Amino acid sequence: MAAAHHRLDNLVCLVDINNQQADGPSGKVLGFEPLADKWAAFGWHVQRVQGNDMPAVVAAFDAARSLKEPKPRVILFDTLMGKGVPFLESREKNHFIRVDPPEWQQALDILDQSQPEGALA
Amino acid sequence: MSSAILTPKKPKLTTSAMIASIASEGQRVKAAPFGKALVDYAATHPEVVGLTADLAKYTDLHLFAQAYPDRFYQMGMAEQLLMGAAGGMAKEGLVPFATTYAVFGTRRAYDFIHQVIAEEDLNVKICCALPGLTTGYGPSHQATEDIAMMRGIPGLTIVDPCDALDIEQAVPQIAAHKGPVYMRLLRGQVPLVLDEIDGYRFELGKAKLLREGADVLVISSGILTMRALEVAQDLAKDKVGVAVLHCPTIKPLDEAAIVEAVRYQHRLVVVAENHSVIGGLGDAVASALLRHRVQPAGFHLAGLPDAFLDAGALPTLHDRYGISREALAGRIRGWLGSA
Repeated sequence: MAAAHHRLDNLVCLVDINNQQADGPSGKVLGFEPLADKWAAFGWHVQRVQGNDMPAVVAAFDAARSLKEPKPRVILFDTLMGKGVPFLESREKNHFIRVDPPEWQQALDILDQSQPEGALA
Repeated sequence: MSSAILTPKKPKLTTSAMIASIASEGQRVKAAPFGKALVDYAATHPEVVGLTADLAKYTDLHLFAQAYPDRFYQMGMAEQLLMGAAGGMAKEGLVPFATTYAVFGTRRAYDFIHQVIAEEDLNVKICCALPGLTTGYGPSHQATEDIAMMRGIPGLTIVDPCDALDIEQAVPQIAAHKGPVYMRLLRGQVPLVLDEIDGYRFELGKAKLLREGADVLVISSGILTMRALEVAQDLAKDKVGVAVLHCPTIKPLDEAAIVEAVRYQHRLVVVAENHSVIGGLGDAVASALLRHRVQPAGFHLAGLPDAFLDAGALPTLHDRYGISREALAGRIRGWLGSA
């Protein structure tokens, strides 16, 4: 409310929607949708993009910066934790994702070998 | 990559056992004493309900949620709402147990506890994990000033249990107590030490002399009582007698027991607490002694410094801030030497 009231057009807020929190998936702990409508109702310019898709992320930043409206801007990013590393993507995870030391190298090897979808060239 | 990594085996509802325990290696522990005691009590008390702010698994309230799904309310990461809803339920005659971490329950929800719950003397039991320095996550998670804040709220009973025994005995007593309660919670694998003290039982509002000693009187609460008992053993080897007066109820404070323990023997008094030296048990004891015109041989605060503490491994931090077994023994030896 304050950001819109004071027309903070140089403010860009980023929301990471990974749907993870301590007691389980955020949507089950306490439903939070429709998120875009809520921000818009508070007077923000809203974009919602796939946060693991880097070209889309970069485009959203460009759009937020070039916007002419005197409004604060928010970019809502839907993300998948561990994206591009199947054994992390599929892990039953909560918001403290734990990676054992040898797994870091395995994850890096997988990322080096495959060009995950959405990665910048 | 091994198949074990691809298909990690995990129980359906992981308990807080996965979280680093404050127990030292080899120490006897009991799992989830709060959750189990609450499930037991609630079996014959249908007025008990459980609420949490996204921390059921991390406050052992998940056991209650599993046992009584219809009496459990997940309020989300919204501590002010948690306290407001608990107050409303108490007004309807229920006895809500509201859990979260101590930093969130106090710092984030203070005005809601003050206005909704305490001013109306409602029957809400606020039980908060990670008291004082029981996590290495840094100041965002270390509730080193929670007692100072909560002592200021009129009519609020404050409990700082030492171990699993204190917790399981405190649960039915705080539930039966009429009025709001703030209890510091140890969760997961909780040390068990007070069962070694002959005849000990937790009594709300009472301090208990756990052992006698001629040279030093440690007045303590919470896990620092456990430390004080360890240090008493260590100093006994050097022929230094350490008495330990355990004060698990911080408010109202058992001033009679404290005054009696200090008045009749000329000993160095050390107040040991898992809390900042500002506004906790130490200040409460000092005030009580002055008001009762009791002057100990010496008076020292073995609490946490008035500072934002570091993040890191808990044993390292307990050493650094003077509440590990070795560090506390060292502090007391130093004070004895300079007395």
